[in-house]
Amino acid sequence: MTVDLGATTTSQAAPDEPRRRAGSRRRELASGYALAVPALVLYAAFMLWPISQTLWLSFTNWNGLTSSPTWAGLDNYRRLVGDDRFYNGLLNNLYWVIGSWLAQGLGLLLAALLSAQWIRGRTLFRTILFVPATMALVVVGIAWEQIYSPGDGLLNTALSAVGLDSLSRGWLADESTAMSAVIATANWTYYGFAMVVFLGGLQAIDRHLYEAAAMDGAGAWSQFRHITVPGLRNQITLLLVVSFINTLRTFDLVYVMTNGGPGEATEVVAYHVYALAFVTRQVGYGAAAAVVLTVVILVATTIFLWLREKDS
Amino acid sequence: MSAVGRRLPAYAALVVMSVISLAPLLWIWSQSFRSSEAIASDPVGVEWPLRFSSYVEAWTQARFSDYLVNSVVVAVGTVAIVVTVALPCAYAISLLRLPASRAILLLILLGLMVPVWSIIVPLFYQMRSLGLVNSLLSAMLIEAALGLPFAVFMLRAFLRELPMDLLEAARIDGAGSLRILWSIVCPIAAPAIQAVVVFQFMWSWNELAVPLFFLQADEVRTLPIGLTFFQGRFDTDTAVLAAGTTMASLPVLLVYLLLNRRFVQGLTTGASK
Repeated sequence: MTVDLGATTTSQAAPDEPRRRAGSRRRELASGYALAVPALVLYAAFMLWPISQTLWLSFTNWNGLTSSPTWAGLDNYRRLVGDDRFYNGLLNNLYWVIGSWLAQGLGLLLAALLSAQWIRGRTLFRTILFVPATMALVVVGIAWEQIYSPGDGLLNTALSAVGLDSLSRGWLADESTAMSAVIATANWTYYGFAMVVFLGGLQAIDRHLYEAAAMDGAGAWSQFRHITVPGLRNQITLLLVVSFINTLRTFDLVYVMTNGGPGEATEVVAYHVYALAFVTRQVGYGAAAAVVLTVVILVATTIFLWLREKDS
Repeated sequence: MSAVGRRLPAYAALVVMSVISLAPLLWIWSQSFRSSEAIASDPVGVEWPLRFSSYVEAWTQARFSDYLVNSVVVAVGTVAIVVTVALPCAYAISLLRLPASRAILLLILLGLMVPVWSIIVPLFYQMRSLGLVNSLLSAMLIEAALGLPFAVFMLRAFLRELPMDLLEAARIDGAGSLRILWSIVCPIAAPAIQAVVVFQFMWSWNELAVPLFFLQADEVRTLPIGLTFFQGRFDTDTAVLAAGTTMASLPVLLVYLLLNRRFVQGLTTGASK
């Protein structure tokens, strides 16, 4: 994703009618800003203003109930630095980010298969494989919670059908498998998205490159490395950035499937913030955790996009 | 390797992944036509005749009829707000040569990175002072503000490719910006607008965090929120939960199957720019 933020081309004013031009340019500017205003008002009221409020709350102590927050300076941030539960959440988020790369890889593989010229039923496969990506995470969470359930879940039933009874367990209740089980569920909703994005990129790669490479004796792997991957650079960047942002702010599946448990085994930062603000009523402290994670996302995304742009 | 030897594993992989993609949903849907006792004794299976009483129970006792209406209202309202404000904004910052275009775009892109739950608390107090808690409008406004960055980004990526000559010609003929937006930009940008509509509808329909905090009263809950409460209340009644889950999943699946091409087109144009 090359984010070209440059302004659009500027036109050359005709020398013979400078005044009329200046007048119409002024009108164009005025109407232009007028057209942008509704979006900016909505955005300022329900995004920028609450962001500024969160920032302010992070420097206060507040239980969310009494009349007003009290100023706490940097106390919340100091406390965060030594809070193991915050790091636990952050680590679970990072595990989730890395786990999601499996889904991106699977998406690439599926896209490569579907773009083979001899494949029949391409549209049907593509349509089916994208279905999980359209589902509400609440629906997904409820379905997979039952798949993982200890007694009669689909996973345990399948395992015992192939004689692997010894592996069956309550997948979400076991501390050693709970996080992986939630990430696998998330991945189920990710690969279709990656596949469709990659398919679009593959269509744009010139077929002749592959033919020429094959004539030069390049094997499938070499073609993949030297033609496919460079041809998909934009898509790979986009997916890495999008999946990074989305996995760091993920909340829904944890809320529906485990509530962060067992213990804090599946607690991600988003769920921690939620618990701080609405369960233990430490609004200021929760705000500080939210600010830190937002800054992490912002900084990492900016560096990533900047490196990418410098590279190309 | 022979052609068959190469093709068979490819088809096998695609079929296996298709089964994995559909099996969890088919399994839940099948449970909605069975009794909880039957599900407990044999998790996979179907009994004839199919039973529909779980749907009746979900529809009436669990108020799923209300949740469905609320979900439709919120999703349609959010889509309407997003398109109405994002299109003029994207048009202004991509085609009207505003000196502040870049600043506006950067400011809006910031919203793509902010997690919604980090602004939920201040939003809650803001909505309360506006008297909008437990009103469907609050969810629409917040979801629209959250969806705006993607819509502006996507529409701008599309509008930037429009030929400037066409707009110049219209302007010389005396057409104002609004007129040009309505009669030239809108028709040309129709595919991008449709993609925004489809994605925004899906996101709004599936949204959990916003209605969870702003639509807490039973009569304003949307389907996903209804489902989470339902999950707590009817924990043992697997069949009714399955019926509710089915009702929440089918409408968006239907929209997807009907507008399948828009989804794909939206993702591919959005990704390459």
